[in-house]
This record gives sequence, structure tokens and C-alpha cells, in this order.
Amino acid sequence: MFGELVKGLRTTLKYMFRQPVTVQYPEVKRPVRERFRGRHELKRFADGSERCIGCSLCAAACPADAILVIPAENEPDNPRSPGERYAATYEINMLRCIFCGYCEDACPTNAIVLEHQYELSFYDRRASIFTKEMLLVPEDQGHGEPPPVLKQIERRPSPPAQIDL
Amino acid sequence: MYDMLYNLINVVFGFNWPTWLISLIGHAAVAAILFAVAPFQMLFLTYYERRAIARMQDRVGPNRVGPEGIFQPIADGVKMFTKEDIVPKAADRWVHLIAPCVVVAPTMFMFAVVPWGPGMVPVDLNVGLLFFFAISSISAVGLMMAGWASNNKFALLGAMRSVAQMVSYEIPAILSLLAIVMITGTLSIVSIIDAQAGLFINSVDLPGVPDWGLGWFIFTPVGFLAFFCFFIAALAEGERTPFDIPEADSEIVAGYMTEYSGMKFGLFYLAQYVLNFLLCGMTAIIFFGGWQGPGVNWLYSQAISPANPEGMWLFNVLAGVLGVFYFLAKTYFFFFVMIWIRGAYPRLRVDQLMDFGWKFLIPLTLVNMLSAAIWVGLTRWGAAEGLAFIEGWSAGVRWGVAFALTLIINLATYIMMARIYAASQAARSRLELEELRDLAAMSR
Repeated sequence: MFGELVKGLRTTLKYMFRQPVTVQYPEVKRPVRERFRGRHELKRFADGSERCIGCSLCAAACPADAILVIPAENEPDNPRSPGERYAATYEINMLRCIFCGYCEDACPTNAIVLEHQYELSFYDRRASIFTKEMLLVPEDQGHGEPPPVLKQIERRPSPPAQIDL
Repeated sequence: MYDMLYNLINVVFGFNWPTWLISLIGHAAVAAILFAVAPFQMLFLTYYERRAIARMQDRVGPNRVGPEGIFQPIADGVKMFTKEDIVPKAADRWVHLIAPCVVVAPTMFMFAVVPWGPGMVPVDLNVGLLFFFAISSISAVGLMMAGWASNNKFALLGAMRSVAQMVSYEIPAILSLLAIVMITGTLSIVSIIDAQAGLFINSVDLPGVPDWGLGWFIFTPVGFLAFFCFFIAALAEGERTPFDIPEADSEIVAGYMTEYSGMKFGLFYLAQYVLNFLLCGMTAIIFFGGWQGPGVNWLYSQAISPANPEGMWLFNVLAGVLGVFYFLAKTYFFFFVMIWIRGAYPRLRVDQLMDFGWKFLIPLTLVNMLSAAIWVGLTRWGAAEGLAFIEGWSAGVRWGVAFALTLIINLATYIMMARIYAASQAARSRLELEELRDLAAMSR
């Protein structure tokens, strides 16, 4: 009768001296997987011009109908993007988006990439629409990087589901 | 306290106040201090419990409010105060209102007889132990009031369960203390602590043993079995896991507290934690010497006390600090054991609880009283009581024989009782299984 009771107590005491598994979230963030699909970013080429050519293929591929692209003609002497056209309006409704990554697959220029940012909360529904200004990376960043999926090909496989912190 | 105030008011300031007034002021001051101490104990214990149980469950626990979350209980208190106070429409309003007070008041009374350190006891009643347990059972009335007045099935069930549990577990608790009372021959808590000076053997049984303040009753077979039974009974009295049946949240929401919100709920919570603190304190006092520990008695012998009026006040402070430290360290250790048990064991069923109390603990404590009687006979009695043959033995031999004899009796009883109990429980579960099988066959 007593042996089992002591065994139970010993187990509990053993756990007491183990490191807790809790992650102190706002201060410590668990790294996401390599192929994690978070907030979208619109990338640029190395010369600073936009990759997006306003072809609307992403909007066509989107199963949730979350993307709105309104293209406009590039001015020939001051082109925004290498192609004929660029996206005058590029909006993603984050309430509709299901983060499937089809837009990424559809994009012929690798302009739209789902990155690792996952803190996407907002206070009202209007704020759920992310505009082009919000999505486009600054001119000095994100030059000509292949999307994470393509990067994966040469990289080692994604870490296992449980990683030790 | 009285001497100090008398000295201060009538000698230093020369007011010549009447002695009853000084006595009143002294008691009021002590009461005020205790009323401040009790809620702080509760605040600390909730934090302590939450952190400890969290670590046992691989979590961190509250660590956001203040450094390492130490102010979490204060935040909880503020929340309790600002919450809406709901009284159910069908409730008996007045009884519903009074019940929390009836539960809290006795737990505060109980502080009156608890010694914190050498000479640091609010009132040294000569029936302190009796007072403590008599008062503690009053809160059962408050629980019943709460359950009845709420006009709620779960509340009533919880109250019934808690009263049944308290009544049945008070018996083993008090019977196990009775063994100690028989050995010390006093009901005063202060005298019980004084009897625990010594080094593994207390100085009452063996005069001349070095006084390290370690002559605790836990080191005797009688004291050990009494501690074992008392601590289990204390778990049930304080409604701690595995005996938290009255507030089994998976069955009856929160028991008698179901219909309470805001600060009324807070008062129940306060009463429960203060009661648990006091029960742990009582365990520490009666079986582990309370403030007794290496050095305290030596420091107190140098200090100002009724026996030694020409002492140094500095030693009063030192003895007090060391004594309170030992007392609180032991108390918190027992509270930790309560948390530890909560982390390890599941809840008992009501019938298992009753079986355990009535069929296992009470016989065990009764046999323990027999052992205590043998102990007293062998260590204290002589020809005058009809035990002429032990007159010639030295104190050490008497102690040794008493130790061996009680050890054999207690051990044999424990093993026998455990076997019988385990066999009866096994037979019972077999019967239940058969009954279930019959039911299944009938329904088919």
C-alpha cells in the first residue's frame, strides 16, 4: 500500500526539478519552421524595383478570394517594375486569407512571399486589409531573395516538430 | 506584552494608567498584529501553492505581477473586491451573507493559542489544544449555512460532504493528539512545545540529554504514528487533495462555494488557506517541536522572561527571530507536503474516504493511545502506581524498553491494519464489479 504512494510522490518531485516547458511568449519567441506561412511580403529586385508586375495571377489562384490587384501601366521613362505593368493597388484581406500559399506558387516573379511574421492581430475589421504600402518591403531590403520554399531545396530538412529550446 | 506596556506607560511616561486598560491595550495590539498576519499568510500561501504545483506540472505559474509574480495574490485580491456580489434570487439572503463570516471567524480565533516563538503566544490557555480543535469545528456550521442558504443542489451536496468529512476526520485527528497529550500530561500548547527540548530523546523522558531543541515527538514510535494519522486527518479537515471531495470541481462545481462571488467567495478562500496554514502549524508544533530548534532555548535563557527578569533585550529579539524562523520553516514545509500530495494523488470517492477514516485511521489511533499509555507507564510511573519492577531501571533503560515495545506494537498494528484494509477494499471492488456485470446482463 505504501510503496505505490511513495512512487507517486517521487514522480511528482522529479518533475518539480525539471525545466518547465512554458515559453515566456512576448519575451521569448519559439522559432517557426523554415516553411512556415505567415504574413505576406511583396519583394523587390536587387535594383530596388518591384517584383510585382500586376498580373493578378495570385488573385486568381486565391481560394479565399482575399487578394485584390488593380494593375496600372508603367511610365516608360520611370518604370516601377520590370514589366509593362505594375500593381497600383495590392490589398490582402487578412480575415479572408487562409495562408495556403497558392499565391506564392502562382506568382511568376516570386514577388509575393509568405514570411515568418505571425503576430497579425488588429482591433477593427477595416485594419484587416493590408495595403501595398504595408506589404511591400523597404527598398534596401528583400532584394532578389528566392522564396523560402525555393531556399529549402539546398537546405537541410526542416527541424523536427519538437525542438529543444 | 503586558509587562512591556506597563513598563512603557506607567514607569517611563508615568501616566499611572489602571492595569486593566494596559491589559486591554496589550491584547488589542496582539489581536491587530494577528489580523494583519493571517491574510498575509493566506496571500503568500496561495502564491506558494500556485508556483509549486505549476512546477510539478511542468509549468511556470504566475510570474508576471511584480518580481517573479510575488504580487499576484494582491492582484487577485483587488479582482475579488471589485467583482459583482451576486446573491441568487431563491437564496436565504441573511444566512447567505452571514455564512462566510461564520467560516472565517473561527479560523482567526485559532491564532489566539498558536505560539510563534519562545514566549510569543497571544494567550497561553491551559486548554489551548482543546480550544484550537473545538473552535475549528465551528466552521462546519458556517459551511452548512453556506450550502443550505445558496438553495443550490451542488452547494448543498458540497456542504453535506464537507460536514460529514469534517466530523468523521476530527475523531482520528483528536485521538492522535490525545496520545501526545497523554505523554505530556498537558493540554497547553506552550507546555507541549516545552516538553520537546532535547536531542532525539526529549528531556522529560531522559533528564540530562543535551538540549538542541530536537526532542520532537516524531522521533518516538507513538509520535510517529500519531503524526501519520494526524497529518492525513489534517488533509481531510483542510479539504486538501486527495480529500477535496466537498469542492470536487469535476462533480459539484465548487461545493458550498458555488453560489458565492466577489469578496464572499474570497472569505471562504481566506478561511480555507488560513485553516490549512494553522493545521500545518499545529503539525509542526505538536510533532516537530514548533519553534524548538538548535539554539533557541539557549538564546531564550539569556533573554528577559518571567524566569529571568535581568536578561538582555537583544536576546529576546534573537530568540524570537530564530524561533519564528524554525516554526515557519516547518509549517511551510508541511504546506509544501500538502501541495506535493495534491500534485501526486487523485481524489478519493466519498465511500473510500469514510472507510479510510473510520475503518483504518480510528483503530490505528486507538492502538496508538494504548502505546502512549505503555510509554507513560514505562517512563514515568513507579511503585506508587503499581509498577514496582521498573523502579530499579535507569531512565535510559526505561526509555529504551518503552521505545522498543511501542515500536513493535505500532508497527505490528500498522501492518495488520493495512493488510485487512487492503483485503477489504479488494473484496469490495470485486463485489462492485460483479454487481456491474449483473446489471449489464440484466440490461441485455
